[in-house]
Amino acid sequence: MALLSNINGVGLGLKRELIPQIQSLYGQNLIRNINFLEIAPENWLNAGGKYKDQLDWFVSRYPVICHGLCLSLGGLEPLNQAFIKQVKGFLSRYEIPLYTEHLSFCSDGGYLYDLLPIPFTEDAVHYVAARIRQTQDILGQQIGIENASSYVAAPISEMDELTFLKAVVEEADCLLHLDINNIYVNSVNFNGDAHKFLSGVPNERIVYAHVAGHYQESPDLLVDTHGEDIVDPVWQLLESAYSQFGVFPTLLERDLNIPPLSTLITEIDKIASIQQKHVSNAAHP
Amino acid sequence: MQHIPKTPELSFQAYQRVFAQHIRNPSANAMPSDVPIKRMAIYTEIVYNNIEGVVAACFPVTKSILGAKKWQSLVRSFMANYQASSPIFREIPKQFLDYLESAPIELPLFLTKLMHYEWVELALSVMEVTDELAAPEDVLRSPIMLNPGHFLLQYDFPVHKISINYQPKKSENITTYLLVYRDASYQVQFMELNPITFQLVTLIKNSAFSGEQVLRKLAADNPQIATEIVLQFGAQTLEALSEKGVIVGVKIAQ
Repeated sequence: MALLSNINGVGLGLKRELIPQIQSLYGQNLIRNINFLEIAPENWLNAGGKYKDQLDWFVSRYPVICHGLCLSLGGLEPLNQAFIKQVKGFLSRYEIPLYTEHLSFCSDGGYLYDLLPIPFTEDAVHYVAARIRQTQDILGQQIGIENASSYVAAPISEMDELTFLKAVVEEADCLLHLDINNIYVNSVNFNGDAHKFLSGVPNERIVYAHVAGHYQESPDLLVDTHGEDIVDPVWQLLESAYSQFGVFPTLLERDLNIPPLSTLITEIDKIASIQQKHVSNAAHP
Repeated sequence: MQHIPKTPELSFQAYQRVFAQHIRNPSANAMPSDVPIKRMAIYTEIVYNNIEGVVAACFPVTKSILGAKKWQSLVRSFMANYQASSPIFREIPKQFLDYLESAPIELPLFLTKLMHYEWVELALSVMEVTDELAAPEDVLRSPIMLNPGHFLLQYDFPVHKISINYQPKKSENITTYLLVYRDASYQVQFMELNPITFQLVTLIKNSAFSGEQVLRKLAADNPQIATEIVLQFGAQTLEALSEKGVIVGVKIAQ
């Protein structure tokens, strides 16, 4: 049975490069802290052959979450309802309890396959919230919305990112998929205060979080590549989030320059130990 | 064929449209006003690199034959002019091919055929086959069919031999028959067929007969060859195709 309560502890984004390693280390102490996995429906929908076998293998052993890339909540054309229905079938077939997406757009009538920033305007709040509601209506369940990283601030924005994020999730009545690295990336790219942003998120809606590394293009420009180790300021934000809001499931994203799992696992273990510390603190105040 | 909204566009949508149009074709379409060039360049770069990476992975021979400059111009042209309709990443290469098949761009004559041949490998590796497949009970006497995980292909030149060093000219007319299929361990296999084997495989593809019925039909279609020879060599071929998993048994519905 697919239950959101099965998503606990630490997760890992399931990349093709990692599949054989997780399969061969499954059940061993080394990867004991991997409790759940995340996949992009855009990579796995309708996949047959060895991909279907792999998916069957993983969903029968780990709780899995779907984290999408191409729903295009801020897109210019109507929502792709056929795609949402396919996702619905996929969630049900593989007993996947949660689907999350980015607060961004990736199409202008045709897909561009990347996450592009939505200007923070009043109209955009209503437009995106309505599309999230429409998605939730089709799926028959709440979805999680991730705060997206970005490199260009729209000059036409009427509010800051936090106000926009809060307004959208409130109006859509959806869950919050909190990306800790994106908070930090945007704070550097737009000269903001990451800790202030974190303290203001609607924490009662957090369903799980992402942490990742990024590429430093210049001192004032970080690119959200998921291709490096997690930096100290992001670890500090994660600690701060746990101490303010309590521990929530947290997933490591690594999409580029993927090291062997035996190396990557140190970041998984570190998340687990921080979680442990904050669970104990909560139990013994 | 841009999507034209029925209601007037809101200011954030107009901004997004300019933003996206610039990414599609940075040299022709202006950036949004008052946006830093350097920051905007991050987007034009990551979107291009992502799409280029997906299509390059599918069409390695095509890319090597065209050379970096021509290849890049085709990917750019695809981004500028094509409204991709599938959110599924592995469907980007086919959309790229669809675009090139109809785009007013001068290409080597063999190019889209080569691309189709390269795409077949991707298509087969992810193809969903829901039938339960099993070897035929008796390849000659029980009903047989082709493994659904296959493409039976016919080209006017040996498409599988194209490389930097071999690029067919228009004058060549070497009919080439290829069977590409996915084996039981999900590996995509390629097999060149002679004309009579191509006929045999085509007959199996279009029927649910037993091997013997198929061979008798093949013999009737080829009166120039003695029936005994067709039956004898045909039986060997059927056995071999069955061993490779190309021919499977027809499941009788219970």
